[in-house]
Amino acid sequence: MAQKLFKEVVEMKKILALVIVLAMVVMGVTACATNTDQPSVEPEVSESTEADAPAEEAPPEEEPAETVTIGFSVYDMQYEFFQDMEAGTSGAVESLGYEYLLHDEMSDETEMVTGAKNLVDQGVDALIISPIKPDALNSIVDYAHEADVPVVVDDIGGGDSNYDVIVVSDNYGGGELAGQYVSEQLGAEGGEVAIIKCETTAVYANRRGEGFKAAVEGAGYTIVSELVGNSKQEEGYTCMQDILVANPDVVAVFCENDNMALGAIQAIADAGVPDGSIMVFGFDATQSAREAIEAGTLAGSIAQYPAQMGALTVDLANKLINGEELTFDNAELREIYNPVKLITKDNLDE
Amino acid sequence: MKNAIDGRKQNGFSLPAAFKDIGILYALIFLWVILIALNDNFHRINTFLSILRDSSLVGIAAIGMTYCISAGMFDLSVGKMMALLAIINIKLATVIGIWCLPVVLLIGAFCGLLNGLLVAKVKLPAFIATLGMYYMYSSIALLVSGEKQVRLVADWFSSISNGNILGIPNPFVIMIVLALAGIYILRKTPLGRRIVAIGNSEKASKISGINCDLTKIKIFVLVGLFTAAAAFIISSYLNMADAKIVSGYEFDVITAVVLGGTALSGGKGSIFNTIVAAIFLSTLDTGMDMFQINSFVQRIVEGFILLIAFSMSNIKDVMLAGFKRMKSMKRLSM
Repeated sequence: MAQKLFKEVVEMKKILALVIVLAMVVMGVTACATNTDQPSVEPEVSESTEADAPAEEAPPEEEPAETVTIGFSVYDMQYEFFQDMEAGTSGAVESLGYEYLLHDEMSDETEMVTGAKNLVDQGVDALIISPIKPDALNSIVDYAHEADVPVVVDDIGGGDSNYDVIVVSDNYGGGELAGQYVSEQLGAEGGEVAIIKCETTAVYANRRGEGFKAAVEGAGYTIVSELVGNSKQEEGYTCMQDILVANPDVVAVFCENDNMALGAIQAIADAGVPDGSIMVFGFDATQSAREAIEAGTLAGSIAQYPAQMGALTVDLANKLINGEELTFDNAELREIYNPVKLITKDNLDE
Repeated sequence: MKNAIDGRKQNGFSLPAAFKDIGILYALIFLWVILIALNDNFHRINTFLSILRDSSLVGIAAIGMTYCISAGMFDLSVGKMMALLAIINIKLATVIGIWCLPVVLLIGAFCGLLNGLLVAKVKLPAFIATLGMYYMYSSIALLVSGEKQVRLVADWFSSISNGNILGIPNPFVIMIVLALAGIYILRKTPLGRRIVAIGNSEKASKISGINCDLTKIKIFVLVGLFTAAAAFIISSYLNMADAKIVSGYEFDVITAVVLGGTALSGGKGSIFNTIVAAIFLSTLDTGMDMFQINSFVQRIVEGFILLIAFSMSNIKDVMLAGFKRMKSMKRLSM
């Protein structure tokens, strides 16, 4: 009998569950049915303001009062770099008088795809995104383009998606700045220089080394060693040890990021080579790199400007909304470069 | 079978009992009503479809996890197992197309089998065993992927998770089908009853002749299977995978299960509620985005929900004790 009663309870629950699921569906459908006459991709907010305004009074100006909305999906607001980028982006959107929608990917891939598509659903006129995983961009870009929303990628990378434009730091130019600094400081008689590279898959980071290489080779220096340090401090250390053994006469070392540069200066110190006798460069101008520059162990590091990049993406998004043509720095990859700056002991305080 | 008897007793208090059992559904409906009333974005079907699609990414793995937690155990390895299986899935799909699905399900079952053997045969606590496997799967994922991202950009693959059937997102349809199968296993098969029995009291189950070791192994195989299904859906959703995708996935999954009212101590579990909880979490996530709530505040809310979820079984115990006292007092007075 207990069995029977238990079964009944289960049965009751099932029926109740079914009823509630149906109720949910009906609720969902009715909620949408009220809006089915409106195209789903149109910005709701602007429509409601439009609908309200003319009913009350005649339009005050000849210009249409339609608000433009720009959505920004940011990598992760926990990091200072992206906080700066977001500040630059939101500032630029506000100064244009547009509406601004922010979405934080919180370093989560599914959150990125879902949230960025939600921005499109919310009726943005342009989508700016700094993707946590560029490789997962394809479905977002396709979704946005279906709704006629242009996509501007901010840094990180665009994968092989069909984005409209990507803004990246001028990595090649940054490397060149370091190379020019070497020839300014050491004169044009030449010498041996080395490069410690990031992963060979890091396309943008590898451009830094290429820029440096072009600048120093143009000034008569020879590259004696190019090692891969995989962006890691400890590998920067071992790479530098190898360089010191194989090429003790090396005068300058360019590292494609600050971590490896910090490892390299440690290796130089451990080998008993006096500080500053080998010029070491990093990239990113992180806080620890700046401290090393102040201490004289690091010759320089290249600073990126995320806030400027943010402002630039908004400018480009605005041009795309207005149907203007963009001039790319690299037309094939639809890239536009944001300037960078070499930080040395001379301009550390600026 | 303590809870079965409890469930029968509570049939007397139909309303409180019903509320206790499907509280999360009321919470979801309440949340939806608020959002529909206050936010224009919730007047569009796309928002709801997006929520349903998003909830399936966690919900599918949460079905498997419901068995595990119902039996009073944990599987912390599902996050990294999912990453590993997603990598394998993408690599296989590139070569053998849709036939990657059965292979990945098999590998998922095998991963679950390993977890199960560690728990049932090596007699490690599930928490320790799966934490160890968490690191193992993480490292194997790095090895298999060569520390790189693997990806597959193909319409057939992408449309599995990004497409719709009759306007309903595919992953949601798949989740519902899997949930129905899952509910059948939990409610209608001897295995399901054994799972709940172990969660109630392993000792009593053993004495009454249940092969606890085998049941535990089966539970972890089920977790592996559902995790593999989730990995298939997620890799299709992202078109890519790597060893670090969706960090903290195991906590998302466990939160959905626990928020759905499955007691951490075991002995009771509802897959229907787990699914509703997954939808609830997605709704909350999307809703906060739609209100442009600062992401730091969002994290606080998520942490708060996690705490509520984990303390819920405790709250319920207090409520249950109250009901019991009332009942016994009634009996005494009679």
